[in-house]
Amino acid sequence: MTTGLSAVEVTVRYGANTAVDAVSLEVVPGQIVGLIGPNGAGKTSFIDAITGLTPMASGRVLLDGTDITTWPAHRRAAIGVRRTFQALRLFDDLTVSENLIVAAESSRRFGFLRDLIRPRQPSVAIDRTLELTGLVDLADALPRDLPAGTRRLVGVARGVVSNPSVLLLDEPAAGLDTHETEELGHVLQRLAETGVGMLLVEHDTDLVFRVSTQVVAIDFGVMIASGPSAEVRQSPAVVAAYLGLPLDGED
Amino acid sequence: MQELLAYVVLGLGPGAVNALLGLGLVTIYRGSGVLNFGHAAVAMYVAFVFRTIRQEWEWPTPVALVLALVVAALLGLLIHLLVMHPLRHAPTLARVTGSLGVLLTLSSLAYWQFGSGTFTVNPLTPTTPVTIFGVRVGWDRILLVVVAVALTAVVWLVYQRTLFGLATRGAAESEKGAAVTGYSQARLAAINWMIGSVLAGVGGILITPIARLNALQLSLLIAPALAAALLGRFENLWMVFAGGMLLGVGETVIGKYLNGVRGLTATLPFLLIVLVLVLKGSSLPQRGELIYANMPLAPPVRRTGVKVAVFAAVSVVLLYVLPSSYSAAYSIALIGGVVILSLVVIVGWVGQISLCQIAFAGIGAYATVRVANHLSIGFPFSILLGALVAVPVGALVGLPALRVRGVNLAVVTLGAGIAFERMVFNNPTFTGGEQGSAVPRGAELFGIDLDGRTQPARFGIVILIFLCLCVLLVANLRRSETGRRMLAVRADETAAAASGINVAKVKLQAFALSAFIAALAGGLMAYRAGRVSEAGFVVFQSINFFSLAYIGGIATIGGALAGTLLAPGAPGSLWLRNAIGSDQVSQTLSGVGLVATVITQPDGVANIVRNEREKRRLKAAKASHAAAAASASAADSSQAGRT
Repeated sequence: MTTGLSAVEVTVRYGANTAVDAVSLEVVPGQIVGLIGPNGAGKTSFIDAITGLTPMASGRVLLDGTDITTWPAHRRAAIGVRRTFQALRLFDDLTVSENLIVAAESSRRFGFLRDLIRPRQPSVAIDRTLELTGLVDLADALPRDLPAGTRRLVGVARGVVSNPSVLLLDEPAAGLDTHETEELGHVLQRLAETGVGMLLVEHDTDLVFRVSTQVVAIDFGVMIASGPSAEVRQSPAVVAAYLGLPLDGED
Repeated sequence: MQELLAYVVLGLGPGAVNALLGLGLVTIYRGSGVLNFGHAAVAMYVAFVFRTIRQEWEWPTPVALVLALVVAALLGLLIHLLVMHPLRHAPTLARVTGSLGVLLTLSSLAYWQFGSGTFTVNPLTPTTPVTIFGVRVGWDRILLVVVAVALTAVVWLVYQRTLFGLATRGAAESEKGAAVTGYSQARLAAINWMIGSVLAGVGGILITPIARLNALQLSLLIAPALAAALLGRFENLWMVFAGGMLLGVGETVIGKYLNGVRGLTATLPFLLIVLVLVLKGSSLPQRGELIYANMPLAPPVRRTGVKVAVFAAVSVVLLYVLPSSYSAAYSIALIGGVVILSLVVIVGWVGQISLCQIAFAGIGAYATVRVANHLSIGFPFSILLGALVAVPVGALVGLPALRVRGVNLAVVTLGAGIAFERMVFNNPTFTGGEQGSAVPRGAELFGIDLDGRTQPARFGIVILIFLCLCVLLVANLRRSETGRRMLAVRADETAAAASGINVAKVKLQAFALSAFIAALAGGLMAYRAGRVSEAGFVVFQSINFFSLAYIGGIATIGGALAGTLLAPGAPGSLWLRNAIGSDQVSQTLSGVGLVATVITQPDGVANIVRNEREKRRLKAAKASHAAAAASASAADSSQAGRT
């Protein structure tokens, strides 16, 4: 039995368009896998399919050997497949710590009725995640009051707070400056050391090659290279499809 | 066959009006992205203007017609400029609320200006019918159908063939689309609002000689109009026309053959709406538009126990000290408070727009009476059991919420409210008629007489206890795990699901709880009056309570509760009636107040103070952050200097 996430020939179609075409990859615990590709290559569609937010045309998704292909999004999240969003999508009415708590809590039997009579104090541990992401001082702030870079970190923190098996990061460095991106890289590496597997979808290829051990490159939904970072970086297909072009990594 | 044909012909008039109203709805929606819940109210108001000019002032009909349609266009323009344009970047909840404000304002204004009765309107056509295929058809119906076909054709041609139409279609696809054609978005929206409102006015003017004129009834034609527009997917004008005709004809034909079930025909639009929306998913084409504003603020609850204790103490004093009319009004306000709490849960915290809360209250009221009558279960258990009956109903109404959201859900719940009003509450089979709706014995507990009729102050305390318990439950919920999940769902359903939250479960739980609380209010109403009267459970009451809660602050317990003082029969509206001498003033005020609130204080009146304090705190925090950052970077650079 393999541990971690296995995506087997995942295919996503929108009408006649094939956004992701039979892409397979694995993310084992503690490992950061980069997923790169030009705009519209199907990276976000891939994450959507893995997390159950968009239907798959074919293929399978397994977590620690369990087939979760047909599971709804919230069950996949509950078993340990979490993600961040490029548009962040934080819960704006909740404080930073509540954003983390709500993502970590698992529902109790008759929890709803018990909550009406005796609300449970949050029993989940979020302090460690706050520390790892450097958000301790901002626990009581509302996300909308925070600068963009910090909001990105809140998104990452919300993704990892439940100790997921795998975290899928959708453009976590978008909109960050060089210094913030570097800091994000450190945060991701610290998190990986705690045993979280990560799939890093990112335009900033410097960041991807710096922190990932494995990198997968896709173009027009098709996998064009896969292997250790250094190899993929040199792969002619990747250079031609992606790196060879003038990088406009900021968009 | 001949008979069936006769009923088909009978349905042509209402069908054509559905089509005209639907056409106007689509025009406005495509031009400005607003689903105008007050659309049929515009038709109603214009019909009143037309009738007044023609019948009261006795001016010639063509002049009355032109003047009335000018009023229609101005009304459309005013609604756009004063209400909808300021809300163009607001979230769906605010925009729905704004157009509900238009509905409330226009219908109560019409009550106030023209009277609450049902008025006859002199026919516009010769009264002698013609015979076609052996069926006698009135000229008025022929005129309606001809006008509806002609106007649909004209609007269709305008959208197909003119630059203005192209620009509108572009705008419907994306906000930028219109700009390409050189039309400004604001101007396009304004013109479409005027066209749509004139179409509504034509419908109102043509239907009232047939269907007579009543402010509330005509405003509710919004339901079949919405159904017709949905059938055309807010896009295909001829499908809208066909849908409207189908609904009109369907109602009369079904009414003929299924006479046994009263009010069944009125549920037809609702069933169609649910069918279209749930089966086809989101049916309103989404516009690529920008939303800048937030949902109403849902601040954490603090020191609930103390606040509830103070509130209870003050209330007890008021119940005994106030003159009896005001004491009774205060009891009514307390019951209204329970209804409003049910809205705080479903709308305030989960963000699901429900316009049928009063239907839940009605179910609770009738179920309470049934339980008391047939199971010989007395107060207070009869109320609790009765409220439990509403729980599955609430979950059922909540089911569409799993597929449809935002404005679509508002449409579904409005339809449900109307369907319940017509089919259940106006139907003796369900209500038990005059006999069945009386509570067998007044409330009594431990030998203390709590009868709502003979001991109003004591029963006021009973209501107060129910209200306070509900406040505590709802406050607990806000503090709990479930409450956090609800707010997460409200903020972003997709992100909630990706965070392991079962969105469907959260919504259904909220609907069930919300229905339960509203039904408790219904049971209390039954015991207070000693009997249930179906007049209390009209869908307008649902809209009323929704607006009162929104004005106060629908995501705050205290704020929303304050809104109840203006509920019909509550001290606020009683005082206004005594002061001004009209019942409709408070209604009109609440409509206008709703519009003003949604534009200027989207968080609700209760949050004004909090927002000001927050602003100051934030400023201070930002200043100290900046200072901290400055010293941190200074420390950084000095460290860097050392290495």
